[in-house]
Amino acid sequence: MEIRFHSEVYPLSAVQKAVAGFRGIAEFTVKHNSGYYTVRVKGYDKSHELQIKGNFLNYVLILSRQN
Amino acid sequence: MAAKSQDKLSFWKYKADSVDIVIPAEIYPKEPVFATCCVFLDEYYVLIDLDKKKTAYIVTLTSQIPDSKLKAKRAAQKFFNELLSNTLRYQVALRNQKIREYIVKEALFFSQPKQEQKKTVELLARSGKKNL
Repeated sequence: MEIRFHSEVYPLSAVQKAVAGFRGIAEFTVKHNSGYYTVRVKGYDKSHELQIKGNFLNYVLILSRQN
Repeated sequence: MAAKSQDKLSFWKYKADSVDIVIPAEIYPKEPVFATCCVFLDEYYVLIDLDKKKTAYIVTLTSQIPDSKLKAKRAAQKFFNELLSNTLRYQVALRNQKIREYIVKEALFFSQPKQEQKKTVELLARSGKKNL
């Protein structure tokens, strides 16, 4: 699965901190292209895709606000 | 997908389990949009995006529990109320920032012992500042 964060809305540090926090759940890679930070997620339990994606989104949002 | 306009500038589109809320960036600053999104974190998964022209924020609220359209619509309505309230709070905070800083500085200054107050005044005089 891929999750895209607009680079003018979310700071990279927030995305990276969230990736570090979720490292135990799946494999994450972050790339910056065409104004978005694209997070690729692999090796996770597909039955929990919505929960993993959603909680990741919310965590990045909270970390962005703290920046 | 059904779409409903709230007014000419902002509107929402609701799907089965989520709602896209379009917020004009010219009217609403980023900080209150973030603050409003945080209100919905308990019940929704929240993503903020910008449109291609970067003129509007698109907030997607996805229900953490499968939802009805009615609830998504209600969430959008609640979102706009919260957004308005947070924008007002943000503007008041900006307007009162200097006076708040002044009050805190005064309070900190007068909470010091007299000797420390003198030192502070001397430091300010050396740095060329007349006030705190």
